[in-house]
Amino acid sequence: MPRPAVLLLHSEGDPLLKIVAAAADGGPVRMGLAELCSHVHVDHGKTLPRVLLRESAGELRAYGYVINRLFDIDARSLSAHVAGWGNLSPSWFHRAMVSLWPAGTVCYPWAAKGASLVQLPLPTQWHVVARSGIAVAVPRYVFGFGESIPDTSALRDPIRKSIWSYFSWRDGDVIDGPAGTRNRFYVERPQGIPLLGARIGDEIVTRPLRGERIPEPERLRHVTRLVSDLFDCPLCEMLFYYGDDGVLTFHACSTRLGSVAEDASARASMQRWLASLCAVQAPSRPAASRREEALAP
Amino acid sequence: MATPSPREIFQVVETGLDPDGILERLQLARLALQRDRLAQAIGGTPEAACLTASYEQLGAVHQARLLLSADLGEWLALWEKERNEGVHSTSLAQLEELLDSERIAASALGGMPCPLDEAKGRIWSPMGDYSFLHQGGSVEVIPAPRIGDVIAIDFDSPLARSMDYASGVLSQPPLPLDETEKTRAVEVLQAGLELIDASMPYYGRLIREFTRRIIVRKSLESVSDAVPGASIFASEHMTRQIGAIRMLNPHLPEFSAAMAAEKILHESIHNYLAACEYVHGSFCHRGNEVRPVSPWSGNPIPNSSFIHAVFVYFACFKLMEAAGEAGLLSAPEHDQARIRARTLQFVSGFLSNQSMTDFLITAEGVDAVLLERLDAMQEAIRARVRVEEEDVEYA
Repeated sequence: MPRPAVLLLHSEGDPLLKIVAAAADGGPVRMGLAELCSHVHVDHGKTLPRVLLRESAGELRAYGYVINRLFDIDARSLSAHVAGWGNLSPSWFHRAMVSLWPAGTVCYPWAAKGASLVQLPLPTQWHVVARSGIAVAVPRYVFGFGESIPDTSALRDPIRKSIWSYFSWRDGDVIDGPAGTRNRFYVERPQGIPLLGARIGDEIVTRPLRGERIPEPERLRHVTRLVSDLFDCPLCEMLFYYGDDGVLTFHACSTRLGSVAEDASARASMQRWLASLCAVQAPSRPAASRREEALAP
Repeated sequence: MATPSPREIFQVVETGLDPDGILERLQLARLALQRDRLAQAIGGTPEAACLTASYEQLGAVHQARLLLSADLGEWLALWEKERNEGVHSTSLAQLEELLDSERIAASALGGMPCPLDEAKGRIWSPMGDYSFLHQGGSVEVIPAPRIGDVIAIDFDSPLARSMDYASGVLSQPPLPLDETEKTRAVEVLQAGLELIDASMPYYGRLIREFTRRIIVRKSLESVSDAVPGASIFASEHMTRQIGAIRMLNPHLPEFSAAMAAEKILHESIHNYLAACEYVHGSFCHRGNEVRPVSPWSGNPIPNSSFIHAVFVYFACFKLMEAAGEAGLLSAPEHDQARIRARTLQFVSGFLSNQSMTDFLITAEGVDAVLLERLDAMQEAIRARVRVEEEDVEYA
């Protein structure tokens, strides 16, 4: 019997909503944070809270593939939705949710930002890609530790960036909060033709972000697939630059999917993928084991 | 006495026990190395004979006090760094002053004639636990207040009053503390240490061994003076300032014994691990450029900081769990909700899908025993959480 997929949504502004069909048209069941939280009760226990499922949660276990878009949860959203949980940290929340879907068929992993492969800051993404052996370059960068201003003289045309802004590559973007004065991060300004590669389930979607033409389109598709496998991420978009010298440089992998939201081929790929997922009778192999294989030396 | 291995050193944090005197053995190993480094720094200089004579005059106890002091640690680390870089702002004259200060301490504390020149004003011992003032023909000995019998609370040594723009605590301009505020700070820090002694006695011993000086900085008259986003309470350690930690605003009434306990333990674990790195080498031999994201703060931090954080939060959890189970946190003065939130925060960082060693991203150059213990601590916390969840029921 087919098990419906469920899409856990952080907000109605999620670009993924433009790519998936509505539930009535055969798309995944949708659930927001408030509804999800209504299925659990937290007993604060002696030292650690205990997550108790409500009777209503029983049917959640019948769902198959879970598309978890709650990775951007912060403590404020949690406390707004989850009365009586006290000062619950997002990391704890993600952990508690694991017990609702014991089969572990989740895209994306249950973890707070930066705590899983699919939500890594930029330099860490580049490191993971660089050591993978995939034939793609990564940008050069320097970090300043604490308040210090690093030496950027070895970088060609450095710009300052936030390590978390994946698709914004203009110099002078405002960097708020502690990141503004601490741990300054400088990277070489991208050069060449910006290209988009996206992974939607089993299929790859590509697009030039400037101009009409993708140089070496098959190479782009191939590298997109390899990098998305490396990050164990079947739904993501990636920014590349194709330099004048023919060097392809990986710049960022993002789960946001804002760049493919209006793309008809992305929608079609999504529909085919969801149909294939929901047809399976048993849970698919948990994402974590694919990642372990990818990271093996 | 054999130098303890890294595995033994980590075990004290993991088990909260020290049956084999590991704490003392590590301190002795560090003491011997610091002595050798000092000898190397002095040796070959024109002043070598004179400085060596001053050092030997101190006798064993005061030599040890000097070698394990924050002031000497700071001088020696900077001296060595500058020699490597060809910069020369530290001087042997500064070392001579430290030797003189400890010589003054040795005489004054030993009840012997004290070579303190009245013109020099108030002199602090390199450990920051005493100051001395020549007044009207005699030398007054002014001990710093102490907690736990051995840890000096340092309000006004030159180090305590210094400005350091790279420090979260010492970058805040100092405000003077009145006697009431000093008393309040000492009492709450003592209460925090007592909480640790009662819950995890060997952590109390670790703290006393590796933290001998708590530098207090007052930057606020009251909590309401704080600028939004700025720290009100903070703590810090600086590796080269051996045995010292810094606290920001512990004089404020909102600073509780539970907060004091957490911060004292947190920084002391850092100091303890720094001693391990001192003796056995840095945890991360490769550069710290590729930074893991801390699952506790969400900030990118160097590998070495991440490794420290795993031990620190593991120890903090063990402390809160032990204190809770012993009923030490149930009194009305403890903010239950806050303590629960903090405990949860300590645990949360261990609960992602990734193993701790996967977080490191660059595990190359990190000792295999250390990697094994990081994952073992994560598994211990996960097992603790699993036991709580085993009887998942319907509400």
